[in-house]
Amino acid sequence: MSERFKGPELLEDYNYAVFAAEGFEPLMRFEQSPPPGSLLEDFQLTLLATGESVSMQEVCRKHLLTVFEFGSIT
Amino acid sequence: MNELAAQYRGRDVGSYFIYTNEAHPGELIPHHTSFEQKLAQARMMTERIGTERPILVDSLQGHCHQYFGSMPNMSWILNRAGRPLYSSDWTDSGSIATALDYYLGVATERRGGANVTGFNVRRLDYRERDRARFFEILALGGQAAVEQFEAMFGPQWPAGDE
Repeated sequence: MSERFKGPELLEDYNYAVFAAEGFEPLMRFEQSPPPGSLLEDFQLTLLATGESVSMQEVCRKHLLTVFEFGSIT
Repeated sequence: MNELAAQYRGRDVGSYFIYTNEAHPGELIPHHTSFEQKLAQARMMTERIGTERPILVDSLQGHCHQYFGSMPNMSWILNRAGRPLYSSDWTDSGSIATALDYYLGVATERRGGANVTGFNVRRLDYRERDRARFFEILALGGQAAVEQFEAMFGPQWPAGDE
């Protein structure tokens, strides 16, 4: 991960067990996220339907535009 | 967002859901302690909420999510070169549709020979707040998730508009 966007070292910090300010507020750094037009790091993600590892940049090459929504069931 | 994806599918727009950490873990849907558990809870989302877009599961450490700012329900639009054109700290299908229409229009202009260049815009968009739906989803995690949210923001959330 880029130093600029380096997050918590511990899995437990990212995957906090309790929704509390000290858990989630340090994570939220939207104002430091990549600016429009910038070159991005690539990330390997797991396609849930097949379990295969896919490159985010490869996914982008399939379409003129690609929408990525981030989230979870909760 | 499923409808939006279907609406734009034929216009060379891809739509994906990136599964992150649990924003509001509770006793029914807890925080992740293994990647297998994260995959299982992503599958649960497709079954219980009906997410129809392809789901890409981030690493257990959330490398991708953290790189893009770690907001719990943000959205990004990237072009074919993999560069970001649009980002929003909260997902709203209306805001995304407006942006897609704009960028598809720019692509049409370029194909027609227009000489265009990019510039930066800062803008505040507005979305409808659906408190009942929010708490319905929150309760999936369990009573602990609801209680922790109310402890943080109070039972009167959301407060008056800005």
